[in-house]
Amino acid sequence: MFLIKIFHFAKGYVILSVSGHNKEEFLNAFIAEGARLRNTRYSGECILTEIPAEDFFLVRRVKTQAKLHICEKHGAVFVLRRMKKRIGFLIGMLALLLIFMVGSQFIWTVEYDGAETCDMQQLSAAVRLSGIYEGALKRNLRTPIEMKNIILGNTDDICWAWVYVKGTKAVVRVRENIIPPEIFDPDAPCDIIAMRSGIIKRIITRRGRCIAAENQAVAAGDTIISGTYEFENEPGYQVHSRGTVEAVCEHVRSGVYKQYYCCKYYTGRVKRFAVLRIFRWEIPLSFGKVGFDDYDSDTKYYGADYIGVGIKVTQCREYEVKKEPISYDSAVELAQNELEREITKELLPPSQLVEKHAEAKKIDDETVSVTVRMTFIEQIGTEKRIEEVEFIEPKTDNDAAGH
Amino acid sequence: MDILGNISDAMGMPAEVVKGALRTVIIGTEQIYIENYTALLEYKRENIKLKFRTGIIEISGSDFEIRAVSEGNIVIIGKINAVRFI
Repeated sequence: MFLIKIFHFAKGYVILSVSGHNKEEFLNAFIAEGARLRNTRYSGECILTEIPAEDFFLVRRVKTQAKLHICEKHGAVFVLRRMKKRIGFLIGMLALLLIFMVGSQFIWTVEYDGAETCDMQQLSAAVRLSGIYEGALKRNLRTPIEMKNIILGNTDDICWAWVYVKGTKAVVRVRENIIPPEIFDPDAPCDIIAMRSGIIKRIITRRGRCIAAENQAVAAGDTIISGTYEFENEPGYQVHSRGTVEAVCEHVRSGVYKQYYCCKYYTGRVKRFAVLRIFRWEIPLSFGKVGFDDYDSDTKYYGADYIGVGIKVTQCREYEVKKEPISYDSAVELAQNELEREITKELLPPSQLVEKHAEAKKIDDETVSVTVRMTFIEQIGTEKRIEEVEFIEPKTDNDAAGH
Repeated sequence: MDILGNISDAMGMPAEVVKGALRTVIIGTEQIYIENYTALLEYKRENIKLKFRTGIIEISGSDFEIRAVSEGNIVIIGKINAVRFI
């Protein structure tokens, strides 16, 4: 159906209104002259019919009492006839068409999908090396396999990549390497050290040499179970230490809070700014400033990727911040909850709460300072690899005497 | 039966080709295709009358639209309730 419409548009057609008496007689006579009518229908008291442009002049041969009126003219024939009088406009249109035809042969946008933690500089350099960059001629692009190999060969953190070219946009889809956690060789010598400062409550040594005592204060990084054995008269050796270290750790958080809620109310005033993007260039279509003190902005892109043209619309919605007062107790409670949530995030599991204490101090009429202290029993021991040391047999008294 | 009728019968040729008989194809209840009509007698939204060599065909229904028409052929769309030969 769409193709038929295009065909009709290319040939041109006229919508003719037939009214008055003997409408059917006119249609018969017109058809008898060889005219082909389409979509003949009633509209009010008139009959509307579509006639191909080439059949239209047959109407002159028909003698009729019916009233005829040309309602609409459609099609390339009529457009071109109108354009004949507007040479400048026609040239402009043709030039624009040419620009788009030429412009659509290049890559104008490069997007990355799946690149979150990898080195973007390295990735974009590799992509450029593979032939994908703004302004690259699509005809000269390498095959997808070649591009993939170049990207993989020039990046460290990527395990898979593929380039999808959609019109003037190239989408580089990558999958990053998932680095497995470091697994200690069970035979590699290591110490158990404290991850966090605290007072040791209990040490269970399964392997290694415990060098700290219960109720001893340790700082982060201190060795608790050593994997190194040294002897006075015998060569030393190193082991892979194993054990559990439980310590009482104190967490303190404080902050200044207001005795009111800040609520956002949208005023309903909205301003939109449009930017026309043609290939890689952006042309602002809206001028002026936002003019709002507080506003949220949201940008949407409506584009035709195939020809590299689109419109970026930024919508700015004004809002007002209103203060809703809350009581001193509520403010302290909310602050305490927030601080507790912050502390919970940094705990070393499994952890057990021992003590909790909150202090609140009023600074002025609408400000309160809150400090939360929480004490937990946490497992602070972690393995730390130790460089292997070549133990030399200690010198004996006999050796010393010989020299 | 006329001579043309006898010939077409004897040779197994279609009557609409030899005799110019009316050929009507109704597709569902919403489209009718007619060949070998000679004149459009009446066209209304609810009623269309067409003349053919030996009579008149009347199509009744609603929302009639003539999708395409050329000499001898017509395609009508709309809700067809009845087709009557007068």
